[in-house]
Amino acid sequence: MSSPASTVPPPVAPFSVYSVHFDFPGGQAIKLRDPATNQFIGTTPEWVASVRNEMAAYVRATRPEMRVIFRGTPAVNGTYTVGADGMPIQVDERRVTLAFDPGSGLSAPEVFRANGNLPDQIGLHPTTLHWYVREMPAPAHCPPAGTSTHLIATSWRALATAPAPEAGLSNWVYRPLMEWTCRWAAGQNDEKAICDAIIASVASSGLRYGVLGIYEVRDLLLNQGGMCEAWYKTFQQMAQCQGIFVYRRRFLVDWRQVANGEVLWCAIVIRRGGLNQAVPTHDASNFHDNHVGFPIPAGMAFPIVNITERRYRFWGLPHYHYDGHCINFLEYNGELYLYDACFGMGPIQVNAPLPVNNLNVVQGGANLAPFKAAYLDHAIEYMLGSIWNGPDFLQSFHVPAFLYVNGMTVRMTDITQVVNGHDGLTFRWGN
Amino acid sequence: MPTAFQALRSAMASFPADKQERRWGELMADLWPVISAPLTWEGERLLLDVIRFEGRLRLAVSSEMPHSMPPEEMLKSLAIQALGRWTGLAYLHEMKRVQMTTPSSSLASLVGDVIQKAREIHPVVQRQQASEEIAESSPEAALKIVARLLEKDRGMSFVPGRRARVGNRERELVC
Repeated sequence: MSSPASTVPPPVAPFSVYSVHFDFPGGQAIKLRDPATNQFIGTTPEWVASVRNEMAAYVRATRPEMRVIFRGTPAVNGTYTVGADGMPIQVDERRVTLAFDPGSGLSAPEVFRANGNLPDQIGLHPTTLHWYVREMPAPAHCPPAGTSTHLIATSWRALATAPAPEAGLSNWVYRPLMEWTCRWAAGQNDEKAICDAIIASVASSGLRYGVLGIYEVRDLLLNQGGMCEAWYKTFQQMAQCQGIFVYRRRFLVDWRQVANGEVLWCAIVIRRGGLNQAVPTHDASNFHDNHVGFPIPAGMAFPIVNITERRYRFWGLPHYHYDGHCINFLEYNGELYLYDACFGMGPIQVNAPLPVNNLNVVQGGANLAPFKAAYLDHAIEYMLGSIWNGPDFLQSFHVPAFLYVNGMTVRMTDITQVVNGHDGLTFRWGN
Repeated sequence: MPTAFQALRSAMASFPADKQERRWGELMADLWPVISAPLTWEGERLLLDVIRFEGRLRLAVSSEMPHSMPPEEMLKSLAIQALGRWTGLAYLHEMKRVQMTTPSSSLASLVGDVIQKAREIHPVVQRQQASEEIAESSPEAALKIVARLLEKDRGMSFVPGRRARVGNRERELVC
């Protein structure tokens, strides 16, 4: 018969960890905003015992500092050696003098430092820190002072900044974008591989294209989706989270009336619903599709397929820069890659320079050909125009009453570089 | 009796006469006659009001809304393009103010493009860009003092949008 085991519990520290603050002033954490409140997450400690547990983010291989508050009673005020074990980081022991407020029971914040670096790769790291007080040299038992649990994201590089003359970027990002991109691009170590991983996984966010009236990143996050303006900003911020700058570009419909009264073109037309949308969110309208070819030889008439269905229409406006579609570009190793987050498309290599952000410049014909072949022919089903079909003029218009009427829809793949001596297709590029 | 630009002014009003949300198409139907022909005095005033508007439009969400730019910015974009198209750089000060203050990089960039194009198209006549605060008595309330920006052109002072017309507008274009 064995002797009875000791029933004396191991001693515990006379205080316990109350809060851990990573994004404190002077710390190395990346600034994250909560889309719900639009406040910085690190305004207050990310972890508060039984109250709050928010993600913190650092550039990979950072050796983080954290500001820690303990809870105790004035009766145990004194000087202690405190540290923490854990994974994937531990905290250097430090001798601190703690005085607990008689009312709240809280100490003043003390800054501690990890005793090693965070993982040297993109990722999300569930982290547990077992806080203790050292009373005797190792390997003696250390009375525990509570456990804090955290989710720490490590990004590839510090938040990207914009090269001149591109529009500047904020020095913070929205938390979900940091969390998602650190998950999707975990282990990647290259600008293009990271962007490819993001575009490949963006649908898993559940966010949708085609949510009407949404134009900003925050609104997109709060409304589970948005239109193309919101999406190209969101994809840019996703890449920014990992320290990568991607360009924003809008290509706008160039409403061009030619000699015979035809207009090439009036609107971009897309049949697919886009990211996490089964069908377009635009109202159905009556289209007149030319599925035979373009241009239509003079005096000839092609059969037209009339169909009423939902399609996205991005209209132009005579004499004005109006609407279009928004996409992103990455310059990588001297090559240009296109990402269209609205439709989850990319990377698409475009054998052309980055489009110049200048709405006064018309790009068409041969200059547009690489972009058309690489992207437009696959992403955009139709262009809507006002076009003669034999004796019939299929006219697209919305002015002056802004009741939208479709003329002829021509398949993008049928539009040739040159139509009747002019550029078959032209766009104007903005940012 | 309906007033001019009723839908547009209602959508921009802080305290509209009715609570009705407007459709984007209604706003554009108000705006299009203004921007598609040489500007009238009323049209010019409307465009200036649009580019000075800092609130949110009271709009019903619909698929006819623009997609690549928020409606407020799209309206300003069209107003600035129209001012550039029909008055050259007469409102350069207003254009630059929008360019410098808008949080939208897309709109700021577009304003720059409009200014660039206007400079290329219209004859260059150096105009003093001085402006000063003046006080005038409001006709609605004689005791109320209204501060307005005053612009000067060839020695003549005028309140923006109230400059006397000349026969050939193109000759009026300055930068």
